[in-house]
Amino acid sequence: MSIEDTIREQIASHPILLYMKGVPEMPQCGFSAKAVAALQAAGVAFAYVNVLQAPSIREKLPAISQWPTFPQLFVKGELIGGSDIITEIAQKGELKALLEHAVATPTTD
Amino acid sequence: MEISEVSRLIETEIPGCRLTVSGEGCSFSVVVVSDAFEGLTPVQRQRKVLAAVKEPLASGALHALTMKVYTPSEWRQEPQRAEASSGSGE
Repeated sequence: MSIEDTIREQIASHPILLYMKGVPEMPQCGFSAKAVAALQAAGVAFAYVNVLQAPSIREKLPAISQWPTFPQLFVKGELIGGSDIITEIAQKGELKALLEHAVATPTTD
Repeated sequence: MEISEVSRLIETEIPGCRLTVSGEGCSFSVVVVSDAFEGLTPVQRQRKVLAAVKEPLASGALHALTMKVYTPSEWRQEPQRAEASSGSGE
């Protein structure tokens, strides 16, 4: 399976997926830390990929998502955005509902 | 990178935009106001700005870009809270 297929499968098979630098317990970059904090505050479990441990994903994902930086949050297969947008949605109080809706509705195969 | 270079790249990608750039080295904050953002989602808006600095981001000349993106009507409603304090990523 190509890296691109692996990425697409990851995105399709996790309702909430954060590509980040580091791990939630130990983010390796301020922007990833902000995204993790917002997701944890929403209180909904999320999957993550530490792109520092997956250089080929770090290299290929930007071309797939048309987003050059990390973190990148995908909900129901759709790019929500980077740290800016994640924190903005959280500040508006919209993140929790978005995440809860994602885990409530089964992913259609 | 220089502020002038970041400005030139964004103004070329989004002609006629109202642009504020601050920062230095490889980490910059921008506030972009353009009618090109009308009807676009936050992701679509930020993609437009990120596309302008694709090369320096890929080469590492630019490491982090913090941005706020507004349409002219949104901008008129919040001129004072436009400090680009958060960040989109690196």
